[in-house]
Amino acid sequence: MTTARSLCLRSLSKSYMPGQNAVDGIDLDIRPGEFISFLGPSGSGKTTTLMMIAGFEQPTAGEISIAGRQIDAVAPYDRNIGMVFQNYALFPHMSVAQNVGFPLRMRRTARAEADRKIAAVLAMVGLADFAGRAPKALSGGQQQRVALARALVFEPDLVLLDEPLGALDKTLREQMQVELKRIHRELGVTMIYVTHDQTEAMAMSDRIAVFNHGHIEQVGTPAEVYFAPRTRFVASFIGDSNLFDGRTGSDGVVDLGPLGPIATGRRDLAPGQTVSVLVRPETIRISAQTPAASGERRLLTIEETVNYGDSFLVLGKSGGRDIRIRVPSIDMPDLPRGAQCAFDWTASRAHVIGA
Amino acid sequence: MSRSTLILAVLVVVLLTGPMFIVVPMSFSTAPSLEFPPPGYWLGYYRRVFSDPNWTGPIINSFLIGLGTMVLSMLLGVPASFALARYQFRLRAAFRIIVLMPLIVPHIVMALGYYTYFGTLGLVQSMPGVILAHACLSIPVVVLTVTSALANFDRRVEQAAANLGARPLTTFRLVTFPILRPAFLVAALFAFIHSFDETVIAIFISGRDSATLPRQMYNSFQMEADPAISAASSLLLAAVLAVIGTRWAAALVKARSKPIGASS
Amino acid sequence: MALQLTDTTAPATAAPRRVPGGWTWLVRAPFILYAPAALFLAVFFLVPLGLVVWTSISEPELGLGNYAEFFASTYDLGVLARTFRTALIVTLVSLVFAYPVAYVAARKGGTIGAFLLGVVALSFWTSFLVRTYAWMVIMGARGPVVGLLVALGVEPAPQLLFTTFAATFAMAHMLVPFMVLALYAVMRRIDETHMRAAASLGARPWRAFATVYLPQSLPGVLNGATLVFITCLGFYVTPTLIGSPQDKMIAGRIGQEMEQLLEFGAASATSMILLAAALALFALYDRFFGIERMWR
Repeated sequence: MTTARSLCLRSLSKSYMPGQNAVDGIDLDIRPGEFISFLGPSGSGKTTTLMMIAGFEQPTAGEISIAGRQIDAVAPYDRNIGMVFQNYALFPHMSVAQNVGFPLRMRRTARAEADRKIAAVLAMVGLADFAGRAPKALSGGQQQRVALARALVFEPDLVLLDEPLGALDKTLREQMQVELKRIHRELGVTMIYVTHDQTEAMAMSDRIAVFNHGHIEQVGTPAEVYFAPRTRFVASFIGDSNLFDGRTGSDGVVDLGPLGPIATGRRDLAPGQTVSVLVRPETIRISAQTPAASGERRLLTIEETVNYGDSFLVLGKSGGRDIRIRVPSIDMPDLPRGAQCAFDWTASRAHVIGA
Repeated sequence: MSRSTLILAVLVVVLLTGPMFIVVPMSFSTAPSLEFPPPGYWLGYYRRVFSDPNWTGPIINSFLIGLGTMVLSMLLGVPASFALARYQFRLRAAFRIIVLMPLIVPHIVMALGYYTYFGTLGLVQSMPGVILAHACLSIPVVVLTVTSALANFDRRVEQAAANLGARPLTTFRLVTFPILRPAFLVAALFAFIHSFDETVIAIFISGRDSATLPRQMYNSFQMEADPAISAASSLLLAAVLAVIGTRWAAALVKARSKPIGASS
Repeated sequence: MALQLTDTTAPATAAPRRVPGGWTWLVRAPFILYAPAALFLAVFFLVPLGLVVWTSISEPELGLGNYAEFFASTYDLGVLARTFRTALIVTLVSLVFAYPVAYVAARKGGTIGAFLLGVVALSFWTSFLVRTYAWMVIMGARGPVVGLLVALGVEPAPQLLFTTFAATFAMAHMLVPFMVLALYAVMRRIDETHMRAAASLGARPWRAFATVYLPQSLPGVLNGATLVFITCLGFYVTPTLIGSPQDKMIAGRIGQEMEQLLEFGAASATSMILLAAALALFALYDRFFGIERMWR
């Protein structure tokens, strides 16, 4: 199960105070060449896990191995792992080229080869003309690129990125996301990306590991964690959601009480269980027709509509439950506050949690 | 801010510095004792400061003692700063208090202690004795300067260096030391000045052969015998003025180069 | 999710399970770093200080005789009282002069701030001796002040040098830079927008200053006052050179007991009383503010 250069975390734990685990028994296999995000709120253990992989924190229990070789006892400087720090941690007294050349200098790379590699990696991040500059003379986005170049230039087995885009403004951040994906595709290097921003994780990752309270709640592709979350936490942390409590009946039908039954298609569910049903707001459709004419059973009382430009968020109540509906702008009917309308959902898109 | 407050502030600093400059005309004065305005001008006292062994000896001693103090207090104070800023250890709080205490204990008390102590050690009236005493006073100055720099030092650059393959000593040599170098230089300068200016302990424990410049000046005051003191004072003032002037000019250039309004 | 292959049942404790070989030396590092300084200060600072304590109770004979004599002597008690009184006056005077300078330097910044701080630094770094000498010239019997008074017809010209007034004045002058730097350190961290907020809420400049700025600058005032007061308590050079020989301050009294009277027991006891006063003030300060902040 350990493929070449894959990273394995086994029962990894870290506690700073006895009885309190910042990281609590994490098991994870990361495949070579994969782009995986550690996603979770602050204090969920994602950064601590990253620091243990880099070697700056010692695990309290468990082990870390790369390509089958256990690295817990290996000092950080012998791990050959690249890292992009949250604040970039560029050496202020060195030029851009000296910063990028630092890992090569540590590895006693021949001068000519080092110069070639520095030039190549700076060209890749679009900073070919900035080699002689001081880090302080660069913008935040440029500093970020230098940090990335420095972490890539020595061809590490693995690159760790600790919220690298956190300090950038929105436009720059989206631009860097695209660029980072391109670099990942070009180099094929394994990347672990720590973030608390779920859209960023969704946009960039091959897989996402969702962290909460020191545990991994779920590991899966963006589509899996989005449409088939395994826990209520994952469902609510990633994307906008409607979570309804219900009771299973026969043939995969879940009774949502005042909202009526929903046919989830999950025929494996035993009847009589309490479950949660996730319905994403964009899978609910509003009917512009008047309630009486449509014959729909589900009626929504509009409480608020929020215009996001490309879409509207409709907040309303049905049968005493809060409902969130995402409607594309072009399909948005005129709905004043207090108005009633019918709505319907795609039952096959509903996802059952807790069974 | 009202104009009157501004004028008041400028007035205070002028009053603060103005009187000091009276030593300058005095140094060129032909008067054999304290007399102002001077009855005539000459350069005789400067000549004396640079030729009379009663002055050249103490000047050289002060430089040697200052340098010795600087080296000793840096060697002891810099590692202590790293320990205090970066590690938890048993008795850390006690160690911190002992390091800072020389700043608190009045110099006359220490002068009395050294007078007795160095007598028994055979260090009284010797240059090493003065250096040892001054190092105790300069260590806290070094520690305050370096720990404050370490508090602002982002240790992630050290982690970055380790991550990129640098071993601990290499990290110190290539990353930590260069970044902290300005703080080290300031700490060394402070240690030197602290020793160079120290008067009370020097009066009591430096003998004739190891007399420092402040001791020689103090004795001259008391005797009111040697007007060359005005020349020595002017030279000390000029030295401080040169250092501050350079820094002030640098600050001024920096302030000017900023966009207008940014420094309001 | 991966299968758990190995059984790692290590107890979950706060201590690292193992320390990698290359880093072990760091575990002992703090000792190596602080031991030399600790040893040096123990031998060359604590021992001589302890010697003063010992001398105070053993010279000329074992017991608290020296302390009893100090507190029985109206002369010594007068010295102590004068020292505290002078230190208080010096602290207040230097505060009055220093506050506007620090205030303008902190709020104006830019060229004027740099100018003010530069001039303060010039004064700060110039040796006490040089500044004392300047005052000796200015206040001397043949100096400019007396000269001016004589020219104005004040006869006979008053004695300025070798008076308590001269010493107090000169000490205040010397300690203003200390006070400015202590105040400035706190004031530059006061958020400028607070004053604007106060103004926008209807406070006139003086009220805004009194209710918003002044309270925030108080830590600096306390810092500076403690520092100046304690420095003043132990001041030796200036009072000895330009103060009244009759009205000694405590440091001068210690020097006299040492040099002229050769009463080391008495000098040590007086030293202990001075040290106790200084340490008590620092302890008080440390209790409320933390000693670290003193020199920031």
